[in-house]
Amino acid sequence: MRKLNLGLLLSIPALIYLFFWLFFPFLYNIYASLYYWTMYNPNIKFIGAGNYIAAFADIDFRNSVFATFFYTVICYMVELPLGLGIAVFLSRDFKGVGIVRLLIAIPILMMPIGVSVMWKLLTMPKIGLLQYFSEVLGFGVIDFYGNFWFASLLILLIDAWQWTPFFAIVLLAALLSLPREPYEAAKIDCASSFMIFTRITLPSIQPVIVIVSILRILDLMKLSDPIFTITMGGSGTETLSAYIYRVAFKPLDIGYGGAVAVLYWILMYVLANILVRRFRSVIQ
Amino acid sequence: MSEPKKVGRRTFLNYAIAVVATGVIVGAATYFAAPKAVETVTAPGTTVTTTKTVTTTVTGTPTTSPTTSPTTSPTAVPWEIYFPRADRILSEWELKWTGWGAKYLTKTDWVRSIDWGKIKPRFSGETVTMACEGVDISAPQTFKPAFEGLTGATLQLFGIPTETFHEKLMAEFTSGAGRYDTAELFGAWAQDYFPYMTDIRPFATQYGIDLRDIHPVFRMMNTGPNGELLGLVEDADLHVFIVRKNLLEKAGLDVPKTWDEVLEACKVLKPIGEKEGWYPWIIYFCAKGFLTFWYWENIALQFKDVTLTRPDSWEPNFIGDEEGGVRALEIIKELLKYSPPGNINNTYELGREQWLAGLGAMATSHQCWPRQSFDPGLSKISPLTTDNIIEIHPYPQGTTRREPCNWTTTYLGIPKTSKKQELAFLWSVVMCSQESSLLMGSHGTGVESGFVSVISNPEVWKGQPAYKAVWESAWTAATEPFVYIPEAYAIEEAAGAEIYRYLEGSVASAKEALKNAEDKVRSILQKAGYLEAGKKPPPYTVEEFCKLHNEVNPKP
Repeated sequence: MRKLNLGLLLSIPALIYLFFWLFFPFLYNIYASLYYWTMYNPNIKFIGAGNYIAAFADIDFRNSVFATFFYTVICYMVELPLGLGIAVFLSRDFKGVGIVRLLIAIPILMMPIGVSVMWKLLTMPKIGLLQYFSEVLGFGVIDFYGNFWFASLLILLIDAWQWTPFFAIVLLAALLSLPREPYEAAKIDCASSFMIFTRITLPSIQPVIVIVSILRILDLMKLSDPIFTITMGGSGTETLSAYIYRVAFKPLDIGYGGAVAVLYWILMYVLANILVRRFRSVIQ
Repeated sequence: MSEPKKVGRRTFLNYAIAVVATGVIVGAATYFAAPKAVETVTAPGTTVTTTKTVTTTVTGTPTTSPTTSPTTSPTAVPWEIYFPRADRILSEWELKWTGWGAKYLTKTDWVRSIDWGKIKPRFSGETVTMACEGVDISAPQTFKPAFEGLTGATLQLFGIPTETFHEKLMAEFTSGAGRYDTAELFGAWAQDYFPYMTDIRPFATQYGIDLRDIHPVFRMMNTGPNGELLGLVEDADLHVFIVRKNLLEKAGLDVPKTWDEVLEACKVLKPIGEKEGWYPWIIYFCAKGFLTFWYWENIALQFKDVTLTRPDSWEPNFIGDEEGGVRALEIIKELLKYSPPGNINNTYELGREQWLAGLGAMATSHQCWPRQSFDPGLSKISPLTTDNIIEIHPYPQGTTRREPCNWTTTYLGIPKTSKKQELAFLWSVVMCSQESSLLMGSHGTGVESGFVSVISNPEVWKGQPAYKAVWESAWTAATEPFVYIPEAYAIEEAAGAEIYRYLEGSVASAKEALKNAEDKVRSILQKAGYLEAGKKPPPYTVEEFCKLHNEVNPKP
């Protein structure tokens, strides 16, 4: 009993921290979402589910949910295979492999907004290098900022350029930690490279792939930097994060912004749970 | 082969401490041994002399350009001491642009009309603070030495990132923390700040400051219902129409005067621009948001049936009885075809960079675009170093001629929580006087003057050509009525998002988009109670404003 009390006592600082920095803001946000509440207007009105209804009625909200999933899926589908390929390539021993492994990590260390600006400069009409090549090759000036498909392509490029190395580095670490014996046995049995890869390598690193995928998918759901830089959320590219910023912080609408943030949290919670439950056996 | 000598942790630490200590000693010795510059400052308009010690190097002394030294008053301060950077620019410009120099210096400048000799003993040693946008911090920094020299007080500047400036200020004001004695405030959202700011008129009366020298158009947004003024105007911008006339001349075109002529000119210019690597028009929106609404309303107000609200109520009137609003939106969609690809989501800043890089033949913008166009250090199309001819004109017309309503005004407000309001006011005077504003304009930073005595001066027009267009436009100006209510930003954002839908193609017709915008705005107004019977917007044209406050409209 005394031990239990001491344990509780020692947990109090952590509980206080959690309450003030996690639970209280979260609960306060739910409370705020039930009110018509803006920072510039002292009259706060209780409107119940009004903000939630308004969110579902807003076409921009629905579009931003679509855009969020769209970018999550396409970025993930490109980055994982590419990252795995790079990891396999870098797991081999060749001259200068150490330098290449170091260089591949550079994009991750850069500020996301800086990366987006760099790509924007590359794609600026009449000024950017990519636009120059496009014109030289006869494609003319490409509308990377106003056309949904080209803008999405650029957003994908930016995200893949920066975050494919994340997959590569984590998967490379997993590959390098694999034991050599199964590979030697497979070679003795004359297994092809493809068979070795699909039957030994992939199953061996599957838990790492799952964990890195969950982390990356949840991160992609928060995509906002390239959106702000490339399109300012226009032309159908506005993700949920960008939408929340626009509706909450720009007009200082605490109530509506809070409601959308709660919906966003529910979405993330459900998604995280599905992913973890689906792959629990693999992780364990 | 001998083994390399290893350096122990203790040895390394000893060396490191020795290096740091040597640096500190050398630095301190240099600081104390350096000769002190002693500068004598004569307060403007008085014969009182004070002495202060400065440790900064003052560049650009009056000797760099004798013609720029003020000759109008025997007791005048050599202003170049206070404005070294401005002086450097002025002396450069003096060489290339006749008439730009000492003539603009005015005896009625507020800074000159204050007896600083009496003020200095009262405030010497005190500290006053200011919150400003980080990107604008060079402006107060320029005038900080002047203020500190004149008052003996210290000015502390707090730069806040622009993106979070508004919400941080609001958090500061609502909490009543009282950290700032002055704050840079954006006029378009003045209503958000009103409850927290002090009326500066009593201070102006105390110091004999004639506030009417600020053009009414730049006072309207900062003036309360009873005439209270919530800050001196720091930056005043009107929208103007800029053209590279040489490109128009090459195509055999005159400068367009109406929007129809603009579209015709775009059609003719497009094939030429395609060959030469430029576009007929530069546009900026910042996607869905207030800038899109502003862009539309600037053009829409050139159609006389569009009034934004009905005359006797807050009921939105975006479409207009003759559908002028629809026409304005269609014009923008047309202009997009003649702009660089992607300009539908262009930011204001990027639009300006495109213009300065020579990517456009025509554009509408605040004064900073044309002003910076002339500066070879900022622009690839400067007439001083290239064959370009840049002209600035009032806005093209629709069915009438009105000044675009969304001028921007930044002002220096004094929060009610400030305990040094008088000193804060004096800082506002130094920062926002006629000459300060003109000198800031000469930096090409986009900070512009809103004083009648400055923008109406033909000598000034030679160096700041946009002011002529501003002066010719300002008397017809009106603001949007929404700036008088705290919901202004929310309204502009909501309407901008709806208007944008037509431009991006997700709503088929301009009329439908404007109808949706009206509905959105109506809903906000309804929720906040403005649509109740009998409530109507305050006067929002310069003429009405002048009538209300018993002033004479300073028509050119």
